[in-house]
Amino acid sequence: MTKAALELPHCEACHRPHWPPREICPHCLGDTIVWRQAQGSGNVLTSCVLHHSLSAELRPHLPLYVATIKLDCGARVVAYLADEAQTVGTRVDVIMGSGPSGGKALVAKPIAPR
Amino acid sequence: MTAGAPQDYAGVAVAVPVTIPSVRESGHGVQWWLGKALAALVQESGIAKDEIDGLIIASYTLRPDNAVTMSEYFGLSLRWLDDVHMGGATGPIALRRAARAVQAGDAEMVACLAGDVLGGAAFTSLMDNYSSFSRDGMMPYGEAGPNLPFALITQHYMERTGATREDMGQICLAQRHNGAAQPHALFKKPLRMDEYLAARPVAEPLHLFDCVMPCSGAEAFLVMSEERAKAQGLPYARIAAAMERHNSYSLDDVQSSGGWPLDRDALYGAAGRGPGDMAFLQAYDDYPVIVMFQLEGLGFCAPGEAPAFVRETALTADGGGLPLNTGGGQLSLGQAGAAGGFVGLTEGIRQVTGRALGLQVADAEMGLVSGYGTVNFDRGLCASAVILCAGDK
Repeated sequence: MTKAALELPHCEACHRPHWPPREICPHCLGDTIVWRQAQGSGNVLTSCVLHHSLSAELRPHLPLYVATIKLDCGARVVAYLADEAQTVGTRVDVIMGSGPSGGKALVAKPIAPR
Repeated sequence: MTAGAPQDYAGVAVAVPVTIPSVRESGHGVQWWLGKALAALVQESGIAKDEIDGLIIASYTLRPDNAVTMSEYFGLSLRWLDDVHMGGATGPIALRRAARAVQAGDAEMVACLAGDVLGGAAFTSLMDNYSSFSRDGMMPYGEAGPNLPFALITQHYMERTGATREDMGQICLAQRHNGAAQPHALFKKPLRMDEYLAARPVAEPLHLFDCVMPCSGAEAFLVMSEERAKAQGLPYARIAAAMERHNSYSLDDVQSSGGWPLDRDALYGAAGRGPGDMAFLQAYDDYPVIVMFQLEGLGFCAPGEAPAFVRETALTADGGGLPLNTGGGQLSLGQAGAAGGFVGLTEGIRQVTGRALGLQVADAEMGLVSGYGTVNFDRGLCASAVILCAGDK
């Protein structure tokens, strides 16, 4: 296993991750939140194909593939799909990478080749 | 300890539904839209401005102003004031708040105003600053505004239930049929299924006619005692029952329902009626899948069966089935931000008082208005509903 390239907010009191980031844990209301390395493996729950964007920077990169992913560690994230659409249940690995216009974004790649 | 049944809404009247027709590009600030709605309430009711002692304002784009600053802007002296900021669920919730204030004697005459200015760049700005979760968790993925979360929800629903694009289209076609008779509609041309299906993809599985058009507009109504409404000679509606529910089913991986099922039995129980007694449903219609959630969640059909329901049931206002969004809904009228959350309520008041601007549902003695709103991360957090019935004529 390579070093995890994903960090998630993690509660030091109840030891659970969450997403999107908060300063208060949604599970136990603890306020000791630390970004920790997390395994990025998970399942695609649903996905879509964007053909329209409010951002002029992103328009040249359309269409864009985006999915909701349930990570094995329990957090649910929305991420770009690196290689086109993935069907529900596809196993993916999520990393903090960059989006089409270079900004930081979660990116999911299929774990096994289709 | 168990919670008792909530008190009923006896003695409260909701009246004077006002619509300031939407436009795609506004030459005015949001204060103008809200002020035009307030002026229309005064003009159409014959109730003096100085008699308004309670005010609710719902708006996304009012900042840096708020409900308090608007009291000075409009020259209102108030003893009860609220900002109700719950997106598409706001109409029924604002009505609940105002009704309780009137029942308790905290206010006698409450003006409920919703309005926004949301053409072009204003819409992008609102989306960029909608909420911290939206900013951090959703907008970085394509900057698609609400189309992204609703595409994800719609795709999941279609896979889970077998709903087709034609099923979604039934809702859009029926509403555009209703909207064609509505003088306020932005889109008055009826829509054919082949046009619906051939529309360009926006956020697959969503296509052009699944999406509401951001625009500028305002909606409003008055809440007062029944006695006062009668004395004033105003047609009015009563509140048979109402509910709201926030952040329900948070453990569901993908949103499959709003919060209505949690409160549905209490809602119909308080009204002493069931879904079959409703002459219409004014459902929040930002996207067709959310209408399907309301059909299921409010008991018009079983969970997962809305696709079959919309295939088998006429949804037009004059079709003899279940009249849905009888004024055309936001798919015809456009989505003027928070005013979109009032559209079902103003139409519901018009229907039960027999004063539809477009198609009037026959014998509309009682009907349901429901709301849904505030997509923070990947789902809408607020659900609301109110059963309206005709007041004394």
